[in-house]
Amino acid sequence: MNNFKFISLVLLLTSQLGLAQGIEFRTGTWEEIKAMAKKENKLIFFDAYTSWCGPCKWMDKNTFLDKETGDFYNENVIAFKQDMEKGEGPMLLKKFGISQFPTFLFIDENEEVVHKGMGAKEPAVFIEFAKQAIDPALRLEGLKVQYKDGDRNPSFIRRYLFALRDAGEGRQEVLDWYLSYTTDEQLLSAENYELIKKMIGDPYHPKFMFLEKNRSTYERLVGAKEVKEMLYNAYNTFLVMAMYSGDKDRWENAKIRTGESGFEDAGKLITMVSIYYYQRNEQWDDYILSIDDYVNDYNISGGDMAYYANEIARNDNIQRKDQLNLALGWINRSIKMESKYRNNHAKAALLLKMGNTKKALKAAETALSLATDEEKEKSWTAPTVALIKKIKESA
Amino acid sequence: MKITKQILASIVYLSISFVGLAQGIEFREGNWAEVKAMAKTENKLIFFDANTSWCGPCKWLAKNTFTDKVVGDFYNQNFISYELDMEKGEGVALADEFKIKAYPTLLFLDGGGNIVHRTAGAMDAEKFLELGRVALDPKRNLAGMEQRYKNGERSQEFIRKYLARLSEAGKPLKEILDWYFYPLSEDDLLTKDNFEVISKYVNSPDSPQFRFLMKEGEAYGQIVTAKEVNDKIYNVYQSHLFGAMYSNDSLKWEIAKAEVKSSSMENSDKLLAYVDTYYFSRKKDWKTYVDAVNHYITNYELDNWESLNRYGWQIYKNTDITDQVSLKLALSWVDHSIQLKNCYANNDTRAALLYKMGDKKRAIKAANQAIAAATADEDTSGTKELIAQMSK
Repeated sequence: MNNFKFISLVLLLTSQLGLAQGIEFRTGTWEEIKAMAKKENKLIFFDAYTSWCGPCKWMDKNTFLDKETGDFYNENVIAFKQDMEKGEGPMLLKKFGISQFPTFLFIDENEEVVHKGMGAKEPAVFIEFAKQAIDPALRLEGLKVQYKDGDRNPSFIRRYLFALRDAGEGRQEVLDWYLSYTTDEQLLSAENYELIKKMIGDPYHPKFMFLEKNRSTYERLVGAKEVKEMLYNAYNTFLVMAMYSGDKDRWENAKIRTGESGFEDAGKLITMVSIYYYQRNEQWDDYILSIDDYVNDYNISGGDMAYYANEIARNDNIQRKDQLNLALGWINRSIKMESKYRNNHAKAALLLKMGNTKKALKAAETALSLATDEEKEKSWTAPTVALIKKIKESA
Repeated sequence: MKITKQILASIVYLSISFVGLAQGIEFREGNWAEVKAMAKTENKLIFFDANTSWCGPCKWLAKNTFTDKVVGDFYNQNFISYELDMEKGEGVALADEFKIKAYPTLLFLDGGGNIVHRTAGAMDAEKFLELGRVALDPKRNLAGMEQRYKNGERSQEFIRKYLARLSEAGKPLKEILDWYFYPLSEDDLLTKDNFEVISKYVNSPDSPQFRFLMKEGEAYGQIVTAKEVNDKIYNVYQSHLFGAMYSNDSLKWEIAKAEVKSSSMENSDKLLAYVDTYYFSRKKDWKTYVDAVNHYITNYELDNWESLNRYGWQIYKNTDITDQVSLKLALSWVDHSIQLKNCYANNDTRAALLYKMGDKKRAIKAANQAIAAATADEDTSGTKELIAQMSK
């Protein structure tokens, strides 16, 4: 009996501590929240989310629970969150012109948005974000005033550009001016590397080409790995956007631009995105040939090989024996690298499609025997069990 | 025979009225939607004269420029022309849509109702033709320039032209000006082009560019003329003072005056004396007003017969000023004006002032002198009326 009491006390304490951990969001109507802010003389931090938005949930489970984040926000702002599709949500959505989720607003007592950001952020970044908001000289509203008053200092303009970007506001005009008076020499700095990376990132932009041309200098400034990653991401986005555009000329030109860039991973990226392009356009012969190029010419993982082989196995549009044989070649290479549940399952599926039930059954059984506990626990092996059943039925 | 004559007369009449129509711009009839539809059908831009019934420059433009034959030919060939009183009917909504604040505003729009070019104010036929040519040229019109700017064009030459377009269109310039000036060194600023940028668009005495102009007035005087430099400085301070005055903020007014007084501007005393006359007139402090005018003209306008006469006339017309001291003072200005140039206008003012002072005898004499001094094309009926009234 005493023990029981003690345990519940501990539980109670822990749960209370648990509550204190992270941001404490206030509850109430918008009017009530405004009244709280006025009374406590603080800004309102407003998390505009929806029930279906992934980054919103990520924030709930991670950053909002972070102790330091909680300490800072609880002390400095009135935190409030609202599902934008429920209750007062639609009214607030309209009032503040919100179009993306999550949008984070800092709002003063006159309902003026003084600072703004969007998208998931790590705790450290999220605390910095609030620090900007409570400093009249650093928040977006303050920067806008400074800009309006005529400040055109490069360091100020960079800060302003990043604040506009964080807030999802237009910045092309400011950026064009900034670049128009930044000399090549000035451009060769870590700050301007960051600017080109985050504000431009478009391989057709002259300043992006400038960065490519001066790659070695930038590598000295920010590291070779960083520059390579940046280029990889930029070309990947570039190609993927062109692919999704549905504009054939744009796609062809994007491939040419990437191919001529001299970037070491250009060929790999083109081949990889081409696979998606042909899949999207149901050009199955080209689809298979580009996967085959991708597997043979680039140093790709056994997991990727298995993935493509599995895609071929489940694609009803692909029945030609020579093509299935190509896929079998990929899977054999994958197994040779490391025999695992996944690649053996893909092999089984392929063999069944090719009519080789005997070998298919063997591969399926190997697959099951190699499945990890986790794979079994999460029932990822269910397709193999189904496959075996199917093989036995057809035999 | 009689019938034939009548027919002949109506034919002549018809052809005259036809010629009359063909001369100048033919404005289309219809509502805004119909006008846009015409523009689409004929594949032309719309020229839209946005006017009001009370606006003088609108009437001047309609009477002088729109009736010009060359203007008519050019505009009728290239545009669907439309004019509207912006305070009546559909005009009210369109004034709001196109944010029209000045009259006349001259708009050029495509069939979709998008503004392609825009300016405001009256102008002669030659300028108006050039306006039409610019509006038709995608490289030079407002929309074309806006597109080039949006595409990232930032050369100094382009920006100067773009500023001119925006200024004509009544759009804000400060953001672009701040960018334009930022990278310029003092040497860069000391050019004719940049004097023009400052002269046209910088109007705040607190701005770094204006302060630079004050500092380098002499150097600019070598690049343009000293008069241009001085006029610009004078105008900036003048509008600064008027702005302070109209704000009704007495502290602002005192500070602005102190700024001008302590500035290195050449004619600061004259400007301050000039603005004082408005200040006291606005305050209806008539005694001080007359003193201020007297101070201003005896110090700065003694060689300007027109100015002397104008102030004398203003004192006569002002029903709040009736005291003999003020009227005598005004009479002394007008007498001086007549010494400089003996003409109808100032003798007429003299007669009016004497009449207001109650000195009918001298007033009649002065009125007769006025009529004697009048040139053939001057209308003296007002003076004759005054004589008739006094002779009763």
